[in-house]
Amino acid sequence: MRRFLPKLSRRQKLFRNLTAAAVCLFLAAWMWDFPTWSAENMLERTERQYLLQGSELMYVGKDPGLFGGRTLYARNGELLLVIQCSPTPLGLRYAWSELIEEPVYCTTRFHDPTDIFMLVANPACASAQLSITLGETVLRYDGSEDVWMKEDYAAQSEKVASGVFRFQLQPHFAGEEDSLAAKTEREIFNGERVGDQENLKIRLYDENGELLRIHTPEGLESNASWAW
Amino acid sequence: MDHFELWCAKVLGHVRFVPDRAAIKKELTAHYEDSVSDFLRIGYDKDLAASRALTALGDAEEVGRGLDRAHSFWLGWLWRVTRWSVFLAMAAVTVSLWQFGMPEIAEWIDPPPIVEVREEYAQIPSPADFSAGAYHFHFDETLYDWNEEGEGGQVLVNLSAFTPCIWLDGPELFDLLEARDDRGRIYRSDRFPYTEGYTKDYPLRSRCAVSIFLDEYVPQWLEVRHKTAGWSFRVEIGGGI
Repeated sequence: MRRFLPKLSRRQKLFRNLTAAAVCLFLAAWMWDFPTWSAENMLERTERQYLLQGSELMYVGKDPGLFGGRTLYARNGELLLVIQCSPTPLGLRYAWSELIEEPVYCTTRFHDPTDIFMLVANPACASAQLSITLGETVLRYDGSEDVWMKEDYAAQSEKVASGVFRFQLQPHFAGEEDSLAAKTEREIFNGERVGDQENLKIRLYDENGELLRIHTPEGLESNASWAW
Repeated sequence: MDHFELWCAKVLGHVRFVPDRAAIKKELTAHYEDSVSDFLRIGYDKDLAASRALTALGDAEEVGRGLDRAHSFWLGWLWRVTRWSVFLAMAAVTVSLWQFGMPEIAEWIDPPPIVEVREEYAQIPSPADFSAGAYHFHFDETLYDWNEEGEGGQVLVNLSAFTPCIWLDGPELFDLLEARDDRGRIYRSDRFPYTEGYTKDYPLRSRCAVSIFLDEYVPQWLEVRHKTAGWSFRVEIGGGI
């Protein structure tokens, strides 16, 4: 049978294969938005999109599973940067990011409002205390209010990484208690009821226990996609 | 085992790249059989033809070393590895196409603007291009619209952001812009009056749009600033209302 293509030497075939593999991998990487090899590379790329530089990676949260999502938490001066990405065979693929223009930010899990995650831009912060009033007040048809529950809660932070803290609120009522307040607390703690939040205050302390600042956000937002 | 088989085994013992040994043996056997046929044709008997053909092939050691040099061990294995690399890379492209479909190459070359311009928009002079970080910003068009019945209006800036870093998405603008007019009024993304920025990512050239919503009056100019990066540009509108 007549040959239409020249017979290549083994060296030429090697070069041809390497070129073809490189082109295919480049195309695949392009279609996957050029995944990065590491969390640091992902942070560097994302901060360039925000026209920032010199961000510090504080913590990488992971969802369970081999291909569970990754959430990168970083700070840049008084700004906080959260980046969501997913691991692929080619590396970490960018999903979305959010720049938080506050030096302290708190969020809770979607179905567990008592598991509170806090980011702090100040590297001097070593610990924190959180206090909050949770409750449920129902408005009656005649305009009067019926307070089902109103309790003050406090929690000491658990340091996850520099600038990253967790709080876990503890219930006040025993599990078997049958009062309206106890039931309401259980529903709030299970995420079945949103409840009212008041008097949220977070005190930030340095290594020596000196008070750095008191942060008073309006409330705690829940976040379904962040991993910590 | 006959003499040729022994000779062949000695030769192949020198060839370190094992996958090529079968092909080499096939070729040596073909040469040997051709040689034997030639000797038989000129009248030699079978044993003599075989012996002469084997002698003509040469010393097993020398032939073996020569073939080992020609079928390089390292080059051979590199070649086999790259064959697998090509298959894996092509599989990666196939999976990517299945996952994401064919890319819109036409959109890569000339991406459409994010906000379509309506007829009632009036063109106004665009600010000068500028560079910030990895991006070069070019103003495609700057327009404004004002409802004469006092229902407000809008300044719309369509921009392109170029970058040679094809792995970067376009610049982040959403929630990061702030504008100020000649009367000192501030336009922000989190409360009225609003300013909004959007980016649609394309390789090399992303499309961006900045909208500033006007309500009570048309200002003389608007200065739009990126809150974290610090760059700004000014749009001269002319005012009058």
